[in-house]
Amino acid sequence: MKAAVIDMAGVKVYREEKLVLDVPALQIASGELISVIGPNGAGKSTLLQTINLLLPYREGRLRLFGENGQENLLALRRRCAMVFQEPLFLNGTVFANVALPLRLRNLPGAVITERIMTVLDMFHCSHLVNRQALRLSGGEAKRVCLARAVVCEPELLLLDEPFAALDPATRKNLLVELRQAAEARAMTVVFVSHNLNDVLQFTERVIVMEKGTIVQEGHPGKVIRRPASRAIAELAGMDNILPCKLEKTVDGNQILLGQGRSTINYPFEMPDGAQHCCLPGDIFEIDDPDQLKDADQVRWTGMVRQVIPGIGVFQVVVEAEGLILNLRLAREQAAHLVIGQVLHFSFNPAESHLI
Amino acid sequence: MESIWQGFLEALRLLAIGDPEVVQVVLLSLQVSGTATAISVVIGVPLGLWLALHDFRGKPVLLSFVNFGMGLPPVVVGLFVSLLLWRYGPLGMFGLMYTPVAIVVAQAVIASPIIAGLSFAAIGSLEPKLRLQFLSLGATGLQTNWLLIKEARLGLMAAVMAGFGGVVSEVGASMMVGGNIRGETRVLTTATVMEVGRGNYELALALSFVLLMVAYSVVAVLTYSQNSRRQDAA
Ligand SMILES: Nc1ncnc2c1ncn2[C@@H]1O[C@H](COP(=O)(O)OP(=O)(O)OP(=O)(O)O)[C@@H](O)[C@H]1O
Ligand SMILES: [Mg+2]
Repeated sequence: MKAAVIDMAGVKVYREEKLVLDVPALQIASGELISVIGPNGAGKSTLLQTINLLLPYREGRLRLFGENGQENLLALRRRCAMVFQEPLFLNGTVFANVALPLRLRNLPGAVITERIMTVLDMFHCSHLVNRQALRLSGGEAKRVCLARAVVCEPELLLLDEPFAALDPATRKNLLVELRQAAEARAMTVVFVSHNLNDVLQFTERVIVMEKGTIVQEGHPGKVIRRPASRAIAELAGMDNILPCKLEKTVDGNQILLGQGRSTINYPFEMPDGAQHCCLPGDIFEIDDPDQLKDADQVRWTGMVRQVIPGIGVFQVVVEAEGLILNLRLAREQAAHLVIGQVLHFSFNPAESHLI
Repeated sequence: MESIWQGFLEALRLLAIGDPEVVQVVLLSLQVSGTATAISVVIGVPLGLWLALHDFRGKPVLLSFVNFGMGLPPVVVGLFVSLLLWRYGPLGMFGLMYTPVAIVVAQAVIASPIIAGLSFAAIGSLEPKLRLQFLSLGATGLQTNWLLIKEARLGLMAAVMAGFGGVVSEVGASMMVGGNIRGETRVLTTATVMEVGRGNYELALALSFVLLMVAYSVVAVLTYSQNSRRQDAA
């Protein structure tokens, strides 16, 4: 593993006497792109501000670039840049705002102008250079904030929902460009987002936060299929989050769904206290009822309620076993379905996930 | 009505011919109140900034004192400053009683809380995260404070004007610690009071108009500079 740019241990941040951030351990390697997701109020912005050495922490240890985060705050901060969740400008032109971090570092005027033009170009806002920053639209403001953060060529870039107000086309372009820029300059990026698509595109590692602490960490693909809690499952867009009861009998473990109307044999370890069963929409297969199937498969029959078209994957809402289920089916399977039609389908119980 | 008009004309005449006594009184008023305002800015703006940016246990108490101080009766301030400065008082050895310096001291005591309170409000109404944003962009503590002051300049200018307006128009403290000595500590307000006491209503009115014009001119200059800077930004 490369040297850690961020190394946190036991850091606790209090706001108005309330513990809002409690990170037992977090390491982010140099050049890594990492995402942070979590519901509102989870402490994502607080985490970024703490890493940016803007908030005092009472306990624990925070090292940036291998140096103690209690000393030399200014020098460490100047190696980082942060895009805040809300655009914050001083009263002045876009140029003046983007120039500010460079002026604060006492760079010569010619260098400042050249760098600003390059970076505004990169974020498609050269035409805004003489506009009043406080009068920009939400998306324009976000782009200028990104430009202002990147202009001083930080080693560590902290992004707090940078794409929240951008239209899908701009979003996609910027995401790609930002990723290229980060890779070209070996920049480390911490990226807070609510949009799982962005997270999947941008990073290989995601941190999931809830109530001020890190509850899950890993590849985004895993978080999507195996979320650690109901809140994360919802955040990650899990298709089916079904209330359930667990039963351990002599025949094996069982999951009871739909107030006990439906039972799944679950020959695996069951987590204690799980109350929900997650079924990703793409685990279902349409069956031919006459054909014999693997006995391990769970086989259900239901009625089609709605067919929502999509590119490649259709979403099909089915009522079965007293449950409303969202299935994701390939276009060739779903396109001919009609509402009210009876549907036989099955899935492998190993794909279900209990939380 | 007649006499008001005559007072106005007399005021214009006195200013036009540059009546030496009036000119001297006007200049002293400007000098004394200007200096007092400047001192109050040096005390009040940092205090307001500090109050706006820090949270500590006694803050509400301190704030209530500042707000209370914004309405200090000038006569009471005059009395306390007199007690400090008179010959047998704790600061008596400096011989400041009945000098312009004494008026400056009293007026600074009056204006400092006004400027501190309004500066607190001006800085406090900025988005709180702006400070973090400036720090994050690599500003030192001092640079951050300076940027915040620049962002709050409209409110701070209003604070300065309120402070100046408060002291240039007060009479109680100037009278008590200055003594309205002709050619030494006579300012526009004390001169007006004196002329009224003597029954010279016309001259008193004329002095009042001069006072109004002086106060207006200063405020107008500040307002103008405010607006032109806003247009610079636009
Ligand atoms: N300035 C503040 N003073 C006091 N409490 C605060 C302050 N800022 C945030 N908090 C609290 O800290 C907790 C974490 O807030 P934070 O802004 O980090 O959440 P977040 O994960 O970024 O949420 P969101 O998705 O809404 O942006 C919340 O409970 C919030 O109310
Ligand atoms: Mg946030």
